[in-house]
Amino acid sequence: MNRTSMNRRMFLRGAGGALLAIPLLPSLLPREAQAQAAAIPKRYVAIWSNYDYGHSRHWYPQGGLPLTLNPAGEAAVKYQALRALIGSNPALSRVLGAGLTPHLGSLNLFRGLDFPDWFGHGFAHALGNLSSSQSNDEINKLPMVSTLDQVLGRNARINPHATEPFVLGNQTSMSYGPDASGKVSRKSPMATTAQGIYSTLFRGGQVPESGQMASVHPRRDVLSRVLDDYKRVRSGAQISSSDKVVLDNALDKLSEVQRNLAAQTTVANGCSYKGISTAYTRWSYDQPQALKNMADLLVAAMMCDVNRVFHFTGIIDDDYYNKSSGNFHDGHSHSPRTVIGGKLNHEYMADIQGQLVSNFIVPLLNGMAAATDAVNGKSMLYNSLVHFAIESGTAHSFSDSPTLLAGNAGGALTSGHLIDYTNPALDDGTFNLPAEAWEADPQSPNFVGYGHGVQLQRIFVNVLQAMGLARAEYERADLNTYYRGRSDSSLGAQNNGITDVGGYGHIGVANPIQQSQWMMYGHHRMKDYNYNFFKTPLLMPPTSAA
Amino acid sequence: MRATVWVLCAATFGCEGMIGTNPLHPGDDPSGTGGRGSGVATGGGGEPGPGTGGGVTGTGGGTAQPNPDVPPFACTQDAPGSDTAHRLSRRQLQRTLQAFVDRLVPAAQATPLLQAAWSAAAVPAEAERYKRWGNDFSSQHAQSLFTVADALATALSSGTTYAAAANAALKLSPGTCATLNTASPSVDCQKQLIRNLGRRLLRRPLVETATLDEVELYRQEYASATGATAFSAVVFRLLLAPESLFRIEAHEVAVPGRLDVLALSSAAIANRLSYTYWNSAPDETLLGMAASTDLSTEPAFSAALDYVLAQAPLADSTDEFMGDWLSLDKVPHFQSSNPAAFAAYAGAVKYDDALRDQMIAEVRELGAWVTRSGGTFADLFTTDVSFARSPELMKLYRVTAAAPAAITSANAVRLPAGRHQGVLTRAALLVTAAGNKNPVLRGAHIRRDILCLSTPPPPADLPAGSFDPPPYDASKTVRERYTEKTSVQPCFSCHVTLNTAGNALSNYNGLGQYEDTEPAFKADGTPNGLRLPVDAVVDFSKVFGGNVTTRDSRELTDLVASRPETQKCFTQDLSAFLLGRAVSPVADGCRMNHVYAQLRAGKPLREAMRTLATEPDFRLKKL
Repeated sequence: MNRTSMNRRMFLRGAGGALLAIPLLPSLLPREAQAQAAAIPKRYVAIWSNYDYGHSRHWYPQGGLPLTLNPAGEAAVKYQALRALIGSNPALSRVLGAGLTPHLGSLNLFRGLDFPDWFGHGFAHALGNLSSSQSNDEINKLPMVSTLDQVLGRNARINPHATEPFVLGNQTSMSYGPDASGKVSRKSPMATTAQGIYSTLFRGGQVPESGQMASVHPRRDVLSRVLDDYKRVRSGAQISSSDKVVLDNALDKLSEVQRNLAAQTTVANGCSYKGISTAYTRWSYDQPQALKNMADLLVAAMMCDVNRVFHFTGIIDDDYYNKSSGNFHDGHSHSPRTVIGGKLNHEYMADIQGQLVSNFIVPLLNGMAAATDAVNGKSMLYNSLVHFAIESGTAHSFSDSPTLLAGNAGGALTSGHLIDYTNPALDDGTFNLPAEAWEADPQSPNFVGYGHGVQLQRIFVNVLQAMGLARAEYERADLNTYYRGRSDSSLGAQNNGITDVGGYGHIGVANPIQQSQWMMYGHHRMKDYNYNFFKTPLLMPPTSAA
Repeated sequence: MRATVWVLCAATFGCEGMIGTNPLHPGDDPSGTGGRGSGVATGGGGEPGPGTGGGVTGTGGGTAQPNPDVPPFACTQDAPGSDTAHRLSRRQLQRTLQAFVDRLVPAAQATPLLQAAWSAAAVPAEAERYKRWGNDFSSQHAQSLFTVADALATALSSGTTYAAAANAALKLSPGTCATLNTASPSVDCQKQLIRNLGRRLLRRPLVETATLDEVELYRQEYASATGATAFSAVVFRLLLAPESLFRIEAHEVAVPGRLDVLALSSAAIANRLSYTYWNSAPDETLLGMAASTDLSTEPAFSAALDYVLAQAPLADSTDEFMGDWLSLDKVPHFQSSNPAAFAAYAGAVKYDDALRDQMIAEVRELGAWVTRSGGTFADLFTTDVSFARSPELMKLYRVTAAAPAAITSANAVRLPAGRHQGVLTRAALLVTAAGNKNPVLRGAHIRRDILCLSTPPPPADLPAGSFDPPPYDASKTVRERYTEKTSVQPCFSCHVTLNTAGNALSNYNGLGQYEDTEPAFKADGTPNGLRLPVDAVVDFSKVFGGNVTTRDSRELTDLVASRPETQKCFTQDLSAFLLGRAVSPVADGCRMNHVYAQLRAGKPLREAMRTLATEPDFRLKKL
């Protein structure tokens, strides 16, 4: 077996990313290198989909993982180049399909990322806000934190031409960010269709294409007076406090429109979007053209540089699929061994998820790979990160949530691998929480998941650092105390000091009698597991695969 | 990811978040251990007990049966609540803009003009079951409404349209400006234009006082421009004004001794009436009533209410209500994993999106027809009038004559006797799209959405295959197969009442077509060419108590229409729809009792709708 040992430099390169053998944790960068890194326009696209009735196995290519990383104080990490794994197979896996094969060298597929706690349905936790997961009362009381797209999209250095990320979703969004008062809540999609993208992101065609002259919108000044009208009505004596909430929100949203009417002064080469179809007023995963239109518009938005951070939430439109009953969720997630059209339930779900990949993610990556950033002559895909995360890896399970990262963040991340963080040695077989009844593998009735992996949240550190954020820009230490230095935790010695190293294993019970304790301490743990309490990124292979 | 009725096997456990309390029916008990709330427990026998007073909580398998003559809701004077600014729904906005444009340009020009402006934007669809409820205002709302306002103001001020629109606006309410110099309007003409446009878009007279002169505020647009450019700016600004996009009651009248309420002005009352019953802004007649009479007084208000209920736009509200009440947007699209079975069911009828649309339109029209023709609540469930005009829908119902464009009692086409009556036996509420009729889904829909009885979620740990349809068996009907599958625990305890209404609809195939016999299927799911007689006789004693049996769908619909549970449930749904918000069994209890009484007494449905507005607090703004 070819084992690769780690020294400090390699560790840093794997963790924060490296370019030309320079450790790229921003805080360690020389001033010049930081300036150079900042000059590369990095885009971030967060993609989320529901998948609670699927099975994580359908994400991964088959084959052994002969390479290992051996970080000090942590279990070995196995990995292999995706090209070696795929061999002569046309498709990477059932979900990821054949469309991504041209981009294998740009991908990282992560296996063995666990959520820290049980919940029935994960929401925005896969993108950084674990507090949003659907679980018990304690967890629901937790304060929300922003998802990665909102953290990045509101950072003026990362996203200089917009004040927030562009949020797209067919029904809702899993993007959480602050409102004007700083309160974090779920963001409504700014657009639900290609036409919505055109209307909102391109301001109904007002964004100049290449070669066009930018100009101030003729409604800019009168819209200022509209805003004054809102303020005046709001201050009326008969306006109730609840009226004011409504008006404040409208004022906030219309102010965004007004800000966007300012003249755009720079237009990137290749900015062209008016020829992209905006047909389809409704779409589902199985509508290739509708999804491609949206992917093309997002690529065009990158080329026009109207925004650099994007969020896409896809909800499987159950009207278009076999429900197996009157309720899509119950018909599938609660009955994983149902056979639909000759496919096991989880296979059927994998194929639906595969439609999102082939119909949206593939054209998105194709477009980004074909676009070049003049600043370094690299593709937009190379300079960016596309982050595909899902509700949960397997029906109602918090184990092994597959995650795909595409792109290199301008060289800050290596790529081209399947990386497996599972650590079977820590699977003590005692974890038997209520979710287990739903996560049984149809072919193995006693199956309870892939065993212990690392905490999913560590990947958020990789993403944020690779995009160029300093720790001070996202970490919060004020609440980060509950487990620090504890050595007497009944929740498992491996969890002590989790805020510093990330920790291994499902958090919590060493035996079933502590289930009540698990509930009791759940909220403490969840506080610690939002991304901004994790300091250590995932260990990654030191060089990109060929 | 969305809540809907559950299927096949249910017991008393929670499924995390997929099925929860129905916000329309705040008394619902999602735990599955009780009946619906806010009822009054009297009598004995029957369904899980209704709660007591304003609470909810039956005891599971309870014995109480509602006394139909006792008002089912708590009626508390001065009940809490507040009237909050509310965004016009997508439909209301579109209709409001249409009415506005209709006033300014000729009819042939108005619709395409608005369509062009509307299609340039992407105004978000409403996500709530009741579309009027939506009060979110997202970035997409802001951007799309900006786009609509920009396009519409531009179109109305372009070319020859400007002169026509400006002159029409000037004449909406005469004033001191008799002749408009369109290139450079005089100050008087500017003011008259602004007053008239503002009154239609803000839906109230503009304030012109020493401390606030709104006409002068809007005349700012003439400070640096004139003619069409200034007109465009005024229209744009008014279209996006807070009182244009939202229903805000901000110019009302103090009530002596009361700090918690304001008396609505006549203009605000006219607004409430028009959006409640028309989904649109007041027309010129209603504006005139508001201007010339005090609508807060009983005779004037009553006259205005009668006027509103007599006008054609009422049909838009009933149309929307039918869609929302019966969740017609959830009528399934065609899908079938067993085409052979589907073909055996569907026969010569081709189910596609076009037929789906026709099915939905038919039910919407049924509601409008019942309301317009003076029909009662019961008529919603019993009318045999056909609204089928397309060949496929006529084929489905086996009628040869298309429904006339303007249906009257005299010219109406009637559906075959005993085959289809009222909403429950129309295709849109029966179609499953997957080929197989499903008594569980049908029963659950009626139980939950029509009767408002509890439908607990399925257990979390059902054995494998619980949600699978029962296996095919050439010797058994669909009803027999489903009954067999759900006759074991933990399914039986709930399905014994859940399937009941669905079984009573056994005479309708997966498309909703009537049949006395149904095709038999071999174990592999292919039809064997034989047919089995259908049994639609059902015992409702486990549902309603007593000795209640129905022999066919006609008796089923008669029973459902006559049940107090249905009338109470419908009362809540109708109230929630018309009021545009979730109803409270306490704050809205009095008015809902009055609506219930109308339904119970067999008064015309329009009268029940009217009752909602006759409560005194309809003319108050609760702070």
